[in-house]
Formats: sequence, structure tokens, C-alpha cells
Amino acid sequence: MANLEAKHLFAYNRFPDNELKKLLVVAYFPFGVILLLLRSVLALFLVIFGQVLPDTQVTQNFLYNLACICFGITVSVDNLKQKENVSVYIGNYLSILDHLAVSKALGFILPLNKTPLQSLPGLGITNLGSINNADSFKKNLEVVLKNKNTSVYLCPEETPTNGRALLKFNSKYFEFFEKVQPVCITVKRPLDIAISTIGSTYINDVLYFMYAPFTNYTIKLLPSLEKKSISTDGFSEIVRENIASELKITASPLSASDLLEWSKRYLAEERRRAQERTNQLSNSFSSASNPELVRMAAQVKEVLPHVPVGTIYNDLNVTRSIDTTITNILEGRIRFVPETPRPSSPTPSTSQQPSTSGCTSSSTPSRQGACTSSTQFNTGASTFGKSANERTKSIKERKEQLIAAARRRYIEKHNLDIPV
Amino acid sequence: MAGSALRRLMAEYKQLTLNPPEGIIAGPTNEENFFEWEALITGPEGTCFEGGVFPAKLTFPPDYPLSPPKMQFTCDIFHPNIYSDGRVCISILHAPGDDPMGYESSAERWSPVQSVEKILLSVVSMLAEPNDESGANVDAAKMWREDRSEFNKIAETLVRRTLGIPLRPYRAVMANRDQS
Repeated sequence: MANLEAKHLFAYNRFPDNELKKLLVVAYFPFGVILLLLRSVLALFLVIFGQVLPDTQVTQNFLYNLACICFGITVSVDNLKQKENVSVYIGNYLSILDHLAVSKALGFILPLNKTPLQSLPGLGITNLGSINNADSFKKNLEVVLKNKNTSVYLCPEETPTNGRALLKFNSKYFEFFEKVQPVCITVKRPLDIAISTIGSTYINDVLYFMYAPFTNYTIKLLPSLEKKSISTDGFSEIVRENIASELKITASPLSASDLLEWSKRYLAEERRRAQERTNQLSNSFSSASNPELVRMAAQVKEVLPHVPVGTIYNDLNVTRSIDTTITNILEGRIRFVPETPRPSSPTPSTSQQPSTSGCTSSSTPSRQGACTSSTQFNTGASTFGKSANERTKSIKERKEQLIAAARRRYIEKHNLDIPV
Repeated sequence: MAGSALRRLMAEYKQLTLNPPEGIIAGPTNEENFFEWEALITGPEGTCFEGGVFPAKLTFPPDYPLSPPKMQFTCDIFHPNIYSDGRVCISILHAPGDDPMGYESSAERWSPVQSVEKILLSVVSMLAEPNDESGANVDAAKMWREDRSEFNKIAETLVRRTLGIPLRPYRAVMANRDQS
């Protein structure tokens, strides 16, 4: 647990790897689709109402409930009684809709982190601006807290994780808070459908909220903490340790930007790999669909039937010449595994088999006969001589042997009374 | 041009040396001239040319394999598709468009993907199954059609000659004829 790296804090697949669970996920598919459709209708209403309804307590309540139904969010709170009347709740960041669950549990609170529901004025979510612009942020925050009489909810981790560790908090927020109440969130979904995967978009995650049977948030309130005379950084660290120990997860030294950086790199690498794959695919596809190359490969294949077509393609792709490819193959510049190796010349067993190579296109019954004739008619050499002399000598010898063998056979066959 | 022809011929020579079709040997007569080859072709079994080993000469053009080689038997041979001087008349030795007899389909024509090996195999097929519509040797074609036994007799003579086996004593043949 001690050394959780960035890569451990992401989910990579939406669906579980486990075989049995996979089966369940498949079985669930039709229900998921129906749910998704029904919830889409609700979402449509949510969007319309969110746009037109005034931003009042009643409508907010209504809209939040609607949103929870729409996204299948159920909430259970362990200790609601511990809720204290603070203006800031600090929680761990698990999903883009965390604040919805917290709002449902604790009454309307204003999320400080980005959320897909920001664009619906009816929900009363105001953008306070970037924390980096501290002055305007502070002003906005004061206005909101005073006028609306609501609390705010903050995930100072600033990016959702899979919940295995708690990222470094952005301590800048803590400058503005004197007293906060930490909130521990755990989230569970049946079928182990991941809340968010690496590189997934809002839309993507939201769609899975709507597809999953439901998403259950368990919220646990911790006793509130006061800053008093502690430094901002120290205070943020204390809050973080409180939450981490309650959730029994590590307080990771990584920050949101580390995670973002890592995911960016991971995704870039993935894209590069995918690109390579499609390149390869399209390469092999284009060569497979290039009639000229197919024709050429077939011709090379006829000449060298023991060479796999794939090997021939690849070389033709480079050479674009039947000639060069044949030469390359014959001179051993290309490695390949022979498909049906030609019988090597001096083995007697080959005599009974129909020849694999010689009798191809032009084979006629008579040719077949010649092929199955005695091994004496095997005229190949075991090596191709390096020098002209060697080769000439070899071919001369083989010619003599061939004639001698033919003569012997002829005499035997016709029972001639002639010395062999 | 000649460079690529040489490369190709070398490759084919290697291929034919290491993996020749049975009963066939082919290679340059003298490697100082790679464009002149000598080949030995064994007459296919079950035909009148069975057992014979027929020598032939292959002459390659400088633009081989764009143009086909020429092939000529250097022994006596009597066959409907072989001129009396031994030149072989077979479709694979003709480039498309060059059709002296006007009956060949272009599918069996010469093209750079053909090879010496294929030519030799085609010649083996030709020995087994003469095409008597081609009139390279009209006498042979006529005899093949009309007097097969005489044709076979001549073929046997030729086979024996290639093997250096003396012909049957002439007298014995005559005696047989007289008896019949």
C-alpha cells in the first residue's frame, strides 16, 4: 500500500476482468440500455427544468432529487447526526457527481469543483472562478456564502481517483476556511462498472451513471476541524490525514497535476500504439487489397511454393519487383518458415510422394508419373557451389549420373542383355 | 538490363540445382556465358519417350526475363511440336502477341514470372502429350495421328540413342516383319 504510483489510481477498464462478472455485465446489457433510455428522458427534463426554473430552495430540492434519480444515485449516510453547521465540507474526490450525493445527504451545498451540472442555472451552482485568482475567488465565495446561505463542498484533491489513495490537497483553498467538516465518501456500483476510466470524458462518465443499475454513495461525516493558529498547509494536511485514516487509504505524495501528467502520457502512448496498429492494419490491408501486389505475390508463390504468402507480400511491399523478391528469397536474405518443405533430394522416402513443388500448374498425369519415378531421377545437388568451377563440375557429374541411371533403368526394365 | 538478367538466371540456376523437378537438370554450359544453358530432360514415364534423357540447349536473350529464351534439342528427336532441327515450339516460349501458329491462349504464354523450370516442365508435358494441331513437324504430327505404333517405334529408337544403348539388331526387326 505504501508505494502507490499514479498508474494505480486510475481505472483502465469500465468493466471488470473477472469472467463471472463479465458474464453478468453481458446479461445486464439489455436492462442497462432500457435504463439508459428511460433516464435519458428524465435527463432531458432535468436540462429543460434546470434552464427555465428559478433558482429557489424548492426548485433546487426538486432538481437535485430529479438529478439523483436520473443518474441513479443512492446515498446512505452513516452518521447524519454528526453534521455540524459549518460552511465548508471537505471530501475525497471519487466522481464528478460526488456533490450531488453530498447535497442529497446534507441538503443543498455548493460544489466548488467542476461539475457537469454547472451549466444548469436552476441548480444554483455558481462558478467562483479559479482558485489561482485568489482575490476574486474570495470575493465570490463571500458573496455566495452570505447571500445564498448555503455551505460549499470542496474536493481539494481536484481530480477524481479510483479511491485507492488520497492525493495531495490544494492547500490554497484552506486559506479561506476557518472551520471545515471532513466528509468521507465511498462509492459502489453493482457489477463493478467503473465510475470513471482513464481519459474518459464527462459525457462518458455520465452515460455510465445512467446505464448502471445504480451508484451507491456512502457518506461518513467526521468531526469538524478548526484552523486556529495552524498554517494553511498544515491545516490542509491535517484534514487530509483525517480523511485518509478514516478511509484506511494512503495519503499519497502525488498531486492532481502529477496524475493528469501521467494520464496524459499514458493516453498519448496508447494513441501512438493504436496509430501503429491501424498503420499496420492498413498496411496489410492495402497490400492485401492492392491487386497488383496480390498478383505479383501469387506469381512469386508459384515459383517458390514453400514460401509463406505473408513473407512474399512483405518483401514485395518493399521491392515492388517479382524478380528482386525471388532473388532475395533464393539468396536467403529473407527469413521465413517454409510451409510445406520440398523433399530434400537424396531421401528415398520422397519417391513415393507426389512432388509438392514440381507438379504444380503444369502437372499432367504423365508429369505425375515422372514425379513418382525412382529416386535415381533426383537430380538435385545438396549445395550450390560457391565458384563457377564447383558448379560446373557438380552439374557435369549430375548429368552423367542421370544418364547412367536412366540407362540402367532402361536395361533392367527391358531385360536387355547388355552390361549396365 | 543484362545485370538483372544475370541475377535472375543465377537465382534460377541455384533453385534448379538445389530443388530440381525430378529427372531434370539444367544449368549454364559454361559459366563464362550465362546466357547459354544446357538441359537434360527425362522422358516421362508411361509415354513413348519413357526413360530417354534428352539434351537441349537454352539460349537466353539479354533482356531475359522480359523476353523468353529459345530452346532447341541437341539430339535427334521426332515429335509433332519440335522442328526437325530440334527447336521447340511451345506456347510458354512465345511472348503474348507473338503467335506463329495462332492457336495458343495467352495464359500459357511467356511472361517474366515464368521460369526455366516451368519451361522444362512444359516440355515434359509436351513430350507426353503432343499437340498435333501444331505443325512444327508435320510428318511427326501425321504419324502421331495415323500410325501411332510406328511413331512409338521411332521414339524408342531415339530413347535408346540418348542412352547409348544399341538399337535392336536390324535383322531381328526385319525378321519379325517378315513373319507377320
